[in-house]
Amino acid sequence: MSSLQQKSTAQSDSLAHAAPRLGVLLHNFRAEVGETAKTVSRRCALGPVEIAQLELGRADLTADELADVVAAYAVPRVIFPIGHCRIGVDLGAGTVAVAVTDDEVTESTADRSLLVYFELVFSDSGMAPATPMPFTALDLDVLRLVLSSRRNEVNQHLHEMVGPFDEALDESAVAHRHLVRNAMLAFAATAAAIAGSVAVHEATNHPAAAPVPIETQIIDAVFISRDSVDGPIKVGGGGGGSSDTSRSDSVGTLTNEAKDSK
Amino acid sequence: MKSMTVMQTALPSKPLDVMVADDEPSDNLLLALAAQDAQVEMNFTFAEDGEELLELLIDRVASGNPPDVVVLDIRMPRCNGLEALEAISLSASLRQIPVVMFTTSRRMADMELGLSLGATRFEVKPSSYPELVAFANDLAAVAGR
Repeated sequence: MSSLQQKSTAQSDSLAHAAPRLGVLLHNFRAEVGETAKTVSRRCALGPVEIAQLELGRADLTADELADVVAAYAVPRVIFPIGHCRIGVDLGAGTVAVAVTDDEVTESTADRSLLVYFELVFSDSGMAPATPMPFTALDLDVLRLVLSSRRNEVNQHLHEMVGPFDEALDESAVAHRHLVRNAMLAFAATAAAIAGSVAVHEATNHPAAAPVPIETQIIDAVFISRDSVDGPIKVGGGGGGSSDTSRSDSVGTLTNEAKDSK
Repeated sequence: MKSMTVMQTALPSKPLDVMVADDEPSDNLLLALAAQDAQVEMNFTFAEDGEELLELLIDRVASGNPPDVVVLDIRMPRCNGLEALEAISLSASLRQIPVVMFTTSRRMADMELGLSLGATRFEVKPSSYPELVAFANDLAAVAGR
C-alpha cells in the first residue's frame, strides 16, 4: 500500500460514514426545508424526474448539469461563505481541504458544487471547516468534478505516480494513422459510389435484364495494417479492403479475422 | 496523455493485467488508487480513447501478451467505447479478452448495445470509494481468476 493510500485509509476510517452521497444530502436538505422536487426543478434546467434520479444516485448528468442542479437547491453557505473559500486539493496526500479567508476568491462551477457538498457534510458532522477530507470519504461524483477542473495537475500527479509515459505512440505516428485511416475511408466511399453507378448504368442500359439489386456490403469493418514489419500498427473503421503486404504474420491473422467476421 | 503503467509492490502471484480506455485522468487516478486497496495486484495500461486502446491492444495481442481484461469508458473523443468494442468484437483474437464497460452512462441503449457487442459486464462508475474498490476486485473475477 502506498503512503498516499495509507494516509487516505487512515483518515477514511473515521470519516467514511461522515460523508454520505451528494444525492442523499440534497434530498435530506430539501425535505428539511419542505420543498418538492418540482420546486427545485423550476430553478434549473432539469425536470423533477432528473431531480429524483440525482437524489437516488442514478443521475447521468454532465458536470455543468450537476452544478446547475446543485445550485438549484439553494443551500445557504454558512460554514463556507460564497466567494471566501480557497479549495486545496492535495493529490499527494489524497485530500481536499477548504480554507475560509477574508479575501475575495473566484469560485469555478466545480468548486461551487464541492462547497455546497462540503456545507452539507460539515453542517452535520461538527468538524472544523479546515479539516482535510480524504478522497476515499468523498462522493466520487463530486470529487470527479473537482479533479476534472484540475486536469493538468491530475495528469502530472498520475505521471509522477506511475512513472514515465509510454512514448511509443508519438503525435506524428497518431497523425499518420489518421491519414491512413481517412484515406481508406475515402477509398471505400469512392468504391461504393462507383459500384452504385455501375449498377444503375447496367440497369438503365439493359432494361430487359433482371433487376440488379444494389447492395451495400461492409467489406472490412476493421482496418489493421502496418507500414513495415517493425512499424506501428494502424487501426481504423470503415469499408474497403487493405492491400498492405508488409505486415507481420500475426497482424495478418488479425486482419483476416476481421475480414472473416464481416 | 499517452499510455502508462501502474505497478504495485510485487506479490508472488502474477499481477492482473488491466488495459483501460478513459479520456478522463481523474477517473484513471481514482481507479489506480482503488486498485491499491483491492485484494488483487494489478498492472494498468491507460489509453486516452478507443483508438489508442485498439492500437495498444493489437500490439499486445500480436506480441503474444494480451491483457487479462479491458475496461472501456463510453464517452471518449476520436473513437468511443462502443466503437472500440465493435472493433474488438470483429476479431476472433481480440474478442477472447473480457471487456468491462465502465461508464457514467445509464442509458439502457448503451448497455444493451455494449452487451450485444460482447462486453462481459456493464458497470456504471460508482459514487463511493468502497464501491470503486469492489469494482477493482471484481475485475479479477471477470478475468477468470
